[in-house]
Amino acid sequence: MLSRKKTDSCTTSFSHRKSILLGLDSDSIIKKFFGSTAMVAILVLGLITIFLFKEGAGFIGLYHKSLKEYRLSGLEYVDILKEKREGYASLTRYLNDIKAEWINALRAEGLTQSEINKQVMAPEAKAFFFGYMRAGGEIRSFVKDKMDLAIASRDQHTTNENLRETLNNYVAQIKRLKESALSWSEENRNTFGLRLREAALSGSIGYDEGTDMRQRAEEVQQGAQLNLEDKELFIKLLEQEYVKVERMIQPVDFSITVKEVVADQEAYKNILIRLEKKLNDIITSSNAITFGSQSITDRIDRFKDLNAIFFNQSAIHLETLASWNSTKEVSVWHAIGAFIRGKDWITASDQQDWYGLLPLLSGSLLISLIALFFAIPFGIGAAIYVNQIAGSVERNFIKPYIEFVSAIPSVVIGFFGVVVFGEAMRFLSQSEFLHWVPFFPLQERLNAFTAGCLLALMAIPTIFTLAEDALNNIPHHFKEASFAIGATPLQTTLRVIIPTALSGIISAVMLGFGRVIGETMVVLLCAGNRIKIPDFTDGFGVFFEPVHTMTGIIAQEMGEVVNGSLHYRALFMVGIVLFFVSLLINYSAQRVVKKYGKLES
Amino acid sequence: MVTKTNSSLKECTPIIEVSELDFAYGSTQALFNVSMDIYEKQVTAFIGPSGCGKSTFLRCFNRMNDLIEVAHTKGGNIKINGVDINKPDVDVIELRKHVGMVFQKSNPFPKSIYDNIAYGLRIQGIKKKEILDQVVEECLRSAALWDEVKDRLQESALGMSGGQQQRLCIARALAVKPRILLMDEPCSALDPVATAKVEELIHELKKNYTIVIVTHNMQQAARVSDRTAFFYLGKLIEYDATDTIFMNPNNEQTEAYVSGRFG
Ligand SMILES: Nc1ncnc2c1ncn2[C@@H]1O[C@H](COP(=O)(O)OP(=O)(O)OP(=O)(O)O)[C@@H](O)[C@H]1O
Ligand SMILES: [Mg+2]
Repeated sequence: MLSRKKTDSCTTSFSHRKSILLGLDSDSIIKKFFGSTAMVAILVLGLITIFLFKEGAGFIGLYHKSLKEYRLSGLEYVDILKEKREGYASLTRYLNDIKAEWINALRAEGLTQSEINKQVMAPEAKAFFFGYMRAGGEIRSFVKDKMDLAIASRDQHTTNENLRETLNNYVAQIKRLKESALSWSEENRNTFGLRLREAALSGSIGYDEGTDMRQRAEEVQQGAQLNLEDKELFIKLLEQEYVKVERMIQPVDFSITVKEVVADQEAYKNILIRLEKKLNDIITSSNAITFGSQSITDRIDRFKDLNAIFFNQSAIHLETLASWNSTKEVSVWHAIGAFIRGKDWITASDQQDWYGLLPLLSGSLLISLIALFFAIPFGIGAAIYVNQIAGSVERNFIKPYIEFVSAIPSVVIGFFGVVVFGEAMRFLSQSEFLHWVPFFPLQERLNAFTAGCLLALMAIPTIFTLAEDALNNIPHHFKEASFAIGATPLQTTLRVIIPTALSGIISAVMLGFGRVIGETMVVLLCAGNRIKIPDFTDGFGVFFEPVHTMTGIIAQEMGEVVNGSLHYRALFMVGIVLFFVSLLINYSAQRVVKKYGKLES
Repeated sequence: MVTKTNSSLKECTPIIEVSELDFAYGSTQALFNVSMDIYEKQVTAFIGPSGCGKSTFLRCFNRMNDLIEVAHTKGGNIKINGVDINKPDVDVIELRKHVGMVFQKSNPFPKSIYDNIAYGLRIQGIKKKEILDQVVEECLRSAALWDEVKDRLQESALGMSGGQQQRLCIARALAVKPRILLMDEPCSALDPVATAKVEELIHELKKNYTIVIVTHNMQQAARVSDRTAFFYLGKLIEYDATDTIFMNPNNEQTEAYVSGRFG
């Protein structure tokens, strides 16, 4: 019995493999499944890349065009003028500052308000402080006039372009109507209805047989059958509209308008000379004022120096204006450079939009730096502790908890950052006993430091997990060998385990960096979102400035931009930069592992 | 009972004295009531079928079993130079400097050849280059490796051949000047030529060091050792001069094992 069974199974054991689906057996189905998943991943990555580049690529061209108009219209020239005006304005602010300080000093001396007023409002003081401010009326109005001229021509130019676009649309629509048979799209039907109503009001054009147009419009919108006559009328109406719009275009010739902008350079020079004389007189007469305290007198001296510098630069300024030329070529490289090295990100401005990467890039990097500064020691320290020092009980406790942090949604962390952490930081910074810290008290609750700390919280699990894996992958025999020579556990960890795991640890840090620089929600909520290059001359204070980031700006502005506009494409360019930064980080992490990660002999 | 072959052994002083050692991993006992003396400047071989506790026993001598959480001594003691090494006041770091170890799988650190050997000194705080240079050369010479590697001391140790790596591990162990050298199947991953070199080396080292070697290779035990201990199921079955164990064993199991009839 038994033996027969055995022979039976022997004869069938070489039959075909069982097919489960479409002639495939289970092995090949599994293989196909996973193969196709990988394919889909590659495909999606490819599509994303193509999409990013497709949308972003137009940016350079558009920006180039925008910058060309900026020069042609004379806005660039006006900006040079504005620089001088700004210089004067900031001197005025400086003077106001001094005045405020003076008042404070007087108050500190114990003077009453009226006594202070008597000093500050004394005729010579009044002449000084107010006189200085008022002296600039002439230059202000000169710059304003020139600015208005340039803006007007630029605006007209932009309007013309939009109108031309509309005209092109009409042409295309008419052409399509003429070519196509009697198939009316829903959109055409609606526009036709509206146009009919308009035409009925103006009464300029109508059906040949005198059909009532208002009634016909009603019918059309209710979905009546449309005939050849309707079509012809529609075309006529569109052509009429075309002519109307065409008439609205008032061509601007930048080469003419710009002449007006750059005119009057001699007059401007005289304005400056007059201003200099006036201000110098005011400053000299201020010598009569006694400020009492040495520090204020020092500041007044400094103010005088600054004033002298300001006027010394006038010659160069005038020269720049004279040599400025609206027809000078704007190269494509200039546009690219203006993006990569641009210091401003100004959108929807009435003069010139600027799309400069630097404030965003520096913000992102600054926050990442802060985040890594905290996350690296904590993440790696925890990994070393858990892997090398902790007992199994501690290990089983600490590990899941750290890894749990990465499961917290980033918006929750951001929320915590705004409400709890930022608030607590500000409160702490205002407390008396911390006043010795150089950059306390903080002005802003939300700043790079707040965001950096919270991002550190998110990067720690990444760094911890990967670094712990790297440590875990160190073969046990290295540890044994070290112990057998008489090394202490600490020596073993520091001299053998960590150097051996270094490549893994470095790549853990880099992937943590990638995590941080790509994070959006937390920075959007906590970084303060001020678009400005952090002031690195401020020492440690730079860490407490509000900043904006590459991810944040995309998330914030993408919802509001017009599809296909320069602004829209600029955001895509930022996206491309971000994409490349992440790619670079991940790639180098892999390289590090590949290059230095060979442990086994 | 003592045969002629025994007379070739000089009467030496015991350097390791084990008495009635019981050792367990958690609840499973791995060594039962083992007593034996190991003599200075001799080669002692441990043989026996797989899983009989040779490695466990060997690792008791430098307390490497401390690294295993569940491992613990249940009874008996081990004295090295008369000191009970399991006493709480024994400095295990000092012990391990005194009792070096070479593992079955060669395990040089992923550092340069030089740094591998200097490691043992550096962890003791020795930084003087002249001393390090001198010791590195000395150890490589004693491990018969100097001529092969003297021109590539700064290259990675992982670039050496398997046999060279194992000899490097021996040299590394020698750097801290141990008295005793434990070797757990040092040749099991090596080809015959490399094995012969290590065996020669053992022969050479015997002049200055006490060596305990675990091996599965009967010929090797016969070739290199002065005394041989046969273990079976955690018990020491027979321990005698090597010649006696191989030519004229007392115990039937030993006889059967060395003649290849089981194991
Ligand atoms: N880390 C450990 N945890 C628990 N039990 C262990 C451990 N190491 C060894 N043992 C057990 O102890 C016994 C002796 O093992 P040991 O490694 O000493 O044998 P061995 O004689 O060296 O064998 P081999 O010749 O295969 O190396 C075995 O039964 C083994 O299962
Ligand atoms: Mg073993």
